[in-house]
Amino acid sequence: MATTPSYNNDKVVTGEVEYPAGDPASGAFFQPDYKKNEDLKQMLDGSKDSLKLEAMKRIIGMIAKGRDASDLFPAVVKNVVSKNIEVKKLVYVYLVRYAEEQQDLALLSISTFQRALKDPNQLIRASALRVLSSIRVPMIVPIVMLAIRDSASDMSPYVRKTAAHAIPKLYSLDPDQKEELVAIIDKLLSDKAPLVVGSAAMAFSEVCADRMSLIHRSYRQLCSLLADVDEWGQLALLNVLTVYAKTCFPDPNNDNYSSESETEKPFYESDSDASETQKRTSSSPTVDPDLRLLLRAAKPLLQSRNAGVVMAVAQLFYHCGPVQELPPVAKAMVRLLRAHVEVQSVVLNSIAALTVTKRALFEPFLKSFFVRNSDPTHVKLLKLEILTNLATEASAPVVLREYQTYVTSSDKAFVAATIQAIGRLAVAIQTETETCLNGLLHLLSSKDEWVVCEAVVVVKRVVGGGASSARAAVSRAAKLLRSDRLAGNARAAAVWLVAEHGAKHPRAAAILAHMISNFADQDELVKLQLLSLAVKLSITQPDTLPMCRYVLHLARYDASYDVRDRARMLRKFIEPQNDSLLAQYAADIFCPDKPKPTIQSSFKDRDQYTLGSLSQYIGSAAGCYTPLPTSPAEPVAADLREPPPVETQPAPVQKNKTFYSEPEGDSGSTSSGSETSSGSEESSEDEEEKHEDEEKPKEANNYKSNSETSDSESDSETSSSDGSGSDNEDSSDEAPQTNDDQQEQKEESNKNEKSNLELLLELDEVASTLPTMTPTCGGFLSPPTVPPMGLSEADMITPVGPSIVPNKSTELISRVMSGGLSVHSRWTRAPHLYSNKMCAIQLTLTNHTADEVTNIRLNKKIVSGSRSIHEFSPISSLGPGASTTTLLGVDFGDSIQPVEFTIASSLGEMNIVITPQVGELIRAVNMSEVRWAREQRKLRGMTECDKKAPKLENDLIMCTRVFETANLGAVDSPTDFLKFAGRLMSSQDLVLLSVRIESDHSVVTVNCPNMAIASMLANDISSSFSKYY
Amino acid sequence: MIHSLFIINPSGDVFLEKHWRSVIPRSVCDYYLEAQRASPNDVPPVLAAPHHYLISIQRGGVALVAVSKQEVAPLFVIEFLHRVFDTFQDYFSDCTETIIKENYVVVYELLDEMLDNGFPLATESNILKELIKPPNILRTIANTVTGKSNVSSILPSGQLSNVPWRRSGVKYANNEAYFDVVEEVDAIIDKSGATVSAEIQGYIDCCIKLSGMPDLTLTFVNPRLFDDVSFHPCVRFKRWESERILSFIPPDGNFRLMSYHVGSQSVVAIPMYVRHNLVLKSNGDQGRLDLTVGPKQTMGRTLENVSLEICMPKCVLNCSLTANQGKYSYDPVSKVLVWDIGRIELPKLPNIRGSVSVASGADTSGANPSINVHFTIPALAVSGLRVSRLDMYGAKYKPFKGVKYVTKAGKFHIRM
Repeated sequence: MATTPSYNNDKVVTGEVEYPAGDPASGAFFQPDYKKNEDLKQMLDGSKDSLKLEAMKRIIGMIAKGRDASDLFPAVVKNVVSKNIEVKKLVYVYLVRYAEEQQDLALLSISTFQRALKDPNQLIRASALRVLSSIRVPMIVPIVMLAIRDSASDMSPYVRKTAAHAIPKLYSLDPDQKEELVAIIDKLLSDKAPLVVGSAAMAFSEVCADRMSLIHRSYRQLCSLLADVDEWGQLALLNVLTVYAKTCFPDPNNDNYSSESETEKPFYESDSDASETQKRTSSSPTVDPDLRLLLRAAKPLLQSRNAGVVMAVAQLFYHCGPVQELPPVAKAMVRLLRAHVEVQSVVLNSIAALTVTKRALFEPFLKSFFVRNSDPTHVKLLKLEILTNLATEASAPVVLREYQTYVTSSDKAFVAATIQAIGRLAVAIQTETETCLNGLLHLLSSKDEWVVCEAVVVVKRVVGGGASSARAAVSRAAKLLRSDRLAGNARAAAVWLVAEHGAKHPRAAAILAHMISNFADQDELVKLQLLSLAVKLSITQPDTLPMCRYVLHLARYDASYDVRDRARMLRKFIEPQNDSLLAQYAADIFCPDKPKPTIQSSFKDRDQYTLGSLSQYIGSAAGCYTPLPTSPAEPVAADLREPPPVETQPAPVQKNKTFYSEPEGDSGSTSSGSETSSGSEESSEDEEEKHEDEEKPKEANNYKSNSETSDSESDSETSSSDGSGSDNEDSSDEAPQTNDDQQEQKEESNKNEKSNLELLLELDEVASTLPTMTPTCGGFLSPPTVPPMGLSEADMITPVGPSIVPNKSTELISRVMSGGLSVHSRWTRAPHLYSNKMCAIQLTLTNHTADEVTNIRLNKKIVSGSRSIHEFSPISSLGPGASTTTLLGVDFGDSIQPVEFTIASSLGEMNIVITPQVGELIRAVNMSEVRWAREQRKLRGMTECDKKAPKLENDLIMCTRVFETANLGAVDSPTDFLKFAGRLMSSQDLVLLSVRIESDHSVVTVNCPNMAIASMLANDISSSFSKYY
Repeated sequence: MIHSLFIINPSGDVFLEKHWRSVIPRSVCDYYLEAQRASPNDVPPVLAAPHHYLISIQRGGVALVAVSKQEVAPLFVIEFLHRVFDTFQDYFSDCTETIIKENYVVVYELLDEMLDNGFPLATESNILKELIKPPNILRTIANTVTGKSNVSSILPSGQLSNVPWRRSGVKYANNEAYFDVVEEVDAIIDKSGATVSAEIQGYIDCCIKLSGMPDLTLTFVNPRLFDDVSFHPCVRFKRWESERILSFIPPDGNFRLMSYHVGSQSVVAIPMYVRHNLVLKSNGDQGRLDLTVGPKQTMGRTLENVSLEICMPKCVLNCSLTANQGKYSYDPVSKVLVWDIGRIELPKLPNIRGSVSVASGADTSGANPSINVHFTIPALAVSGLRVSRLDMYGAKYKPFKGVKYVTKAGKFHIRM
């Protein structure tokens, strides 16, 4: 193998390698030497790309061969960062194959993909998502979810396509994510790129095939894109649209509907259209215009080179289209018969099912179904089935002539089927019965025993009801029976034939006599038939009664139960005791007129399955098969398919409702009710502000006096109350409040709720009019998160004020250092007015000198990355001994890296470093326990951090400790868990904390997408528990 | 959707497996192997195992078995498997067990690129060839020297354009466009020489090496002949509907532009006849075989590459024949007699005759073998189809154009 100049270019590296094994090339594929894995590891650990590539190729060879290569996992997974694109690709292949078995190690590679997801090259982004989503490790579900969500709105359609592919992967990994995935599918279905739509349709049918409501909106666009989608996408899309059409449009072949609409139509149509409408309704049934759109888009695809697409179109037309339009479909299906034999087999199967009900469709193509000797047997049988279904009185002679040739084939199964088919023809087509029967009788004298047997059985079935040629059949059968050439079934059938139709035949008795001469050696079936023959003869030809007795006597001592039982029963008929009724009616019982048997196609019930489906092929419902729904009587949701008018947004509607239905100041409205509205109120702020204009002056005053203390509450309250104007302080008041300042304020607000509320509302107004704050005040005014529409009220996540605002202040600059000006900082646990991503830090500046300190301002900011500082307004002068407070806004970017800045004053410049506690980077939020649990489920795995902590006396102390350490909101929970929730200031990621109390200790669990924050917070909380005050 | 793919050689060894979802043990192939053992040439394409469905194709001596766990359109899978096989052929110029084994890395990379989670991702050969370069010796050496790999790191631009089948930046020194109009006669001739059924199945294969983005139109003298057509995705269907003109931006390289069908309604010229006489005696005596082949309705062309294939009845032990032209061989195991005639030159008619030895006591009645006939007639389209002209827009240069007509025997059966 090493000498073959193939792509398997192991030789390429031989110059530079020192393999332990002599010939590395030969090892690539076929050497079953497991010890070689050692040198593979060495090659992978090395630094040469060519060696790594070589090793990877050999490993892929092992995987391809189905050998276990999982022990190399650690060595391989390291190379996921390789620069060489081919090595990388092969590592991906390996990773996807084995990640499931080595979950922990697979996690090592995740960060590489996360980085690659941000790569400027779309191919790299896409392949990272592809591999990431293919790694079947439950731990990474949140990460994949995030990646899919981001990629679904990527600029590149290719990446979006990959996102669509990733959706079913994630769904199979964690079905809990369904709702979120459905939302993404919904979005992708309305994508404008044909590349994406096909994959979205595939994801749709994998994840939520029953949610037809998702299609309404994009239906027309999907129809128009159909032609441009790639062939596999067309297939998926056609399948989805077929189900959709079946769900939403009435059956165009349904007479009720078309006649109804006929009468209604002129009513809707304008006069000019009326004549045309009439023409249409008279020639063909009315088709819903939207269905017509789909049919028109799908029809050209009948010309596709892809058999699957053609079949999907056939499926659509057969199940949803008007009957008149089926002939072109039939033609296309017949064309597929010239493709590969596998395609032929599937198509023939579908045609066989179709011909049972819609014979006329395929009649013109009769000759296309003639059997060739070179066809595989199962194809021959299918063709035979179709030919039999298609035969009419006119075409029967042609078909029969074909059958004549088939009967002499060397393929036994096929011959047998042909004989059966002749039998079916004889029954189905009255005019041909004679011919068929003659043919069959002719076969009875064939030299091939096997053919004869089959023929007898069929003749028995055909003759069944007493055809005129029964006599001929009987004499043939009689002749055969005498010659003892038949076996088993055939012999039994022949005896039956004689018994049924030849009871009056003079030779029947002779046959019976001949047969019972070796009664004991006959088959059981034959014996049973002989018994009934004997009885029937004794009825029609009473002189044979002794022979009948003799047969019954023989049967009485037979080895078989059945024969003995039958004999015992029949005896009652021929030997009447005390004039029993049995004997009287014996003739009626044994020789009645029997109805003619019907022989039906074995494909008769295949029609119940969707045309061209796997279930139809195998004739039973396959796993996950869902039958098409039945058509509705009336068109469904026609108005939903209209393209949405541009100005219609759901939000204003909701606004109006809350705005008008709840009068302002209605204190009875629940807090959660107003919270709902606050989520959707962004757009209505202007209006609200105008509304409040009149009371502005008063509030402006109040604002000044309260500004320092109400900061902490201002955010939560404004965001939740600026919309509806109803009182909703409960939400923040419910949280335990221990801080004195807040207590005071609460009392104050209770005294005059209305004015206080408006004060808070007015805060926005003031804020937005302050010149320094204009740039991004929108960010502050808008609620920090816009919850998705349609979530129930209980599902909201609303920001609340902090439970505890620490009084503790830290000295940033001592008076000694600066020469008299000291600076203290305190965490206010509130977002800064400038941007809600910023923490507001209260700085207290005190002048300890005897002179006035002037022009105090923030001078230099040393920040990096996304972090930023919003400076406080400069203080022009600070008198001796005086102190002032000011607010500084810092966006820490969710990291505890310190920020540095300098404060300049007349005393000089001082350097200040602020290092945040992790707990201060969070803003408390309120949410329902159900929501908490759901969010936590999404953040399992790597984003979860557990920490053991000592147990404290009671829950209250624990809560206090938690609140002291971090700005989290408590979540009501009935369980023994203490649950808290918050959001990171900058990224708005959720931070979920729970404290579980065990017998002798407690466990602190933090869930946060930011893993660093999670672990730090868990550490901080647990160490706060171990502190003794 | 396709969960896994197994490639199986004729002796029943699974020599390549690829899983797109969780691993399915290869023992699932036993159901396929069982069916194959029962009747090697008659394996239904869809098999139902207890928890899986096996959908298979057999080509080039290997079987591709796709495994699915749930309802899936069988034609989708079959069509995809054929596409996989076509791609392999395209890459390695042939597709056999040995070649797949030699190129397993490329095969694996291809499979990975073609299917994602069981759903096709990229199957256009132009796109695949940009993503993964087909192997050749020159490139292998070049890659070793330069350290480059044959896997592309950028997305082929075709993937995003609205002509995904064509790669961008095509450049040729010699611009050429060749069209092969191939017609196959499918016919069944009965014992007496009468035609039972005859149809013409045609296709137009192209080899197009044109720089830039050429926009071609192909017109026919008599497009009304077409009864039913199917097109490569590149053909603009609207123009075909309205003007019966093939207008398209071609993929680069070889591809099948269209396939068509000339209906069984029109009379099909049968280009040759076979006079046959086979006598088998059941009493153990020697039987006799006499075959004569002659041309018929060939419109003045000669028949070439003629060969006859007869599957003899089971009772025939051996044949000792003499042919006045060509060679014959008989395989006593598969009972197939092959007579390779070659070119038929008038006035001499090829003939083969001789004795056939029959197993004594065997039943010889009713055994009616059939003859499969192969032939080609160059420079003739039996339906009479003619290309009128080829126009090119969208490029400045003048390409070299050529059209070739060939008629072949398709499924041409003569019943004896």
